[in-house]
Amino acid sequence: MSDRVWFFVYLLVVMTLGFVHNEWIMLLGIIITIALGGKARFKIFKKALLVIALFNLSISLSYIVYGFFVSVDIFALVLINLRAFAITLLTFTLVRRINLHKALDFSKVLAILYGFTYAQIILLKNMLHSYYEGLKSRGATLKTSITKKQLQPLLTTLFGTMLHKSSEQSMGLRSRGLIDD
Amino acid sequence: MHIPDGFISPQIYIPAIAISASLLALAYKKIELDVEKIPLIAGVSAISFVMMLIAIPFPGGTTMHLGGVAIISLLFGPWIAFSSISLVLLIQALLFGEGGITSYPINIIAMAYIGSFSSYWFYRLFVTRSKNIAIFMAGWSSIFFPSIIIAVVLGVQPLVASVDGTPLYFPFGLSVTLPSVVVPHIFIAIIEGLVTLSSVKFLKTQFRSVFSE
Repeated sequence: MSDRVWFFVYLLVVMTLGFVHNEWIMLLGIIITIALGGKARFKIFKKALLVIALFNLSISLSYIVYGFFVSVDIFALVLINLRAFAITLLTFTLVRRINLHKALDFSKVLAILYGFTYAQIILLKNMLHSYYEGLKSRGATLKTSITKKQLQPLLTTLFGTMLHKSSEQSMGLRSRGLIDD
Repeated sequence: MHIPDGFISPQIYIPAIAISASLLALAYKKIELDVEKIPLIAGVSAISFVMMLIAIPFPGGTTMHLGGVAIISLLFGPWIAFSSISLVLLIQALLFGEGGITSYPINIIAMAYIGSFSSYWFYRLFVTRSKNIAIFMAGWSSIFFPSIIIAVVLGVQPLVASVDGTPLYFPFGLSVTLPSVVVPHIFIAIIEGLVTLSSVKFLKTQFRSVFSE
């Protein structure tokens, strides 16, 4: 199957999972997704677990505390957490197994926007990382405090690079005739 | 503020898909995408993504991150801001698990659409009195109003999807979600307002030729 078909199958399965209210079916879905994960299945499992832990843990603990005052169904909590985990795991497995750029190719504009944005994110993320490293080597860090003095040169660099790259890419698109002008 | 997967019922996310798809179609029509706009939207989206990585310490040991919605809305217009933030939220949901796929339409209606347009309209509303207050209010509203939408959507889940009083999705009602989501965001919105004011003024000075009015 092509990446695009896989992407639409994924969307269909995710939508369907929203209607499932049975813990065992949800568990079966998780087992099938793990099997589809290939060699990276444990890495994907760990990532999905970490991602949902932060938000779901606080909601689950609050619901358990709420249960001390009002009668609550603990299986409802299990179902909510299993559904959240199943969908997150499925998303990470899909992203690992398919080429997202090809999957979004049903819309030329969306595929180009995704490709450009992803490329720029990587570029700017690396730039931000270098900025952090530079600060660290000078004994300062953005993690402990961010001041106007630190934010302003950072914004200049980020915006300057973005504007420069945008005009460079516009010229590239125009010269290759990829988008009708 | 991102709602993760599994908390929103199909009764809410299916109509939200229709609304958000219509808004996105309208946005791309309004922007009139051409060779200049496509790289610009991609670039602005990347900036917003990176700005969300810049964490600012917040009292209580936690951190808040910049959203940049108001900054983008004021510098490039609300439709470009809406398209950019929607793209950022899609990449965050698919690659980083921040915000879910089923909740994606609600996240873009709240954070991208309401965030971009509330900041734009608040700026228009206050700019005749004071430009600084207008920019601050734009930043403040870009966080405050989306937080109300998020709180309401989460809070109505037990009302629209419960069986014999047992919730099937997000378990807490409006009496819990409104104060717990909206109250902290009033303060986060103040910080976003100050950062927006500082950033917009600075960028307009630094890139005078690009953002000349």
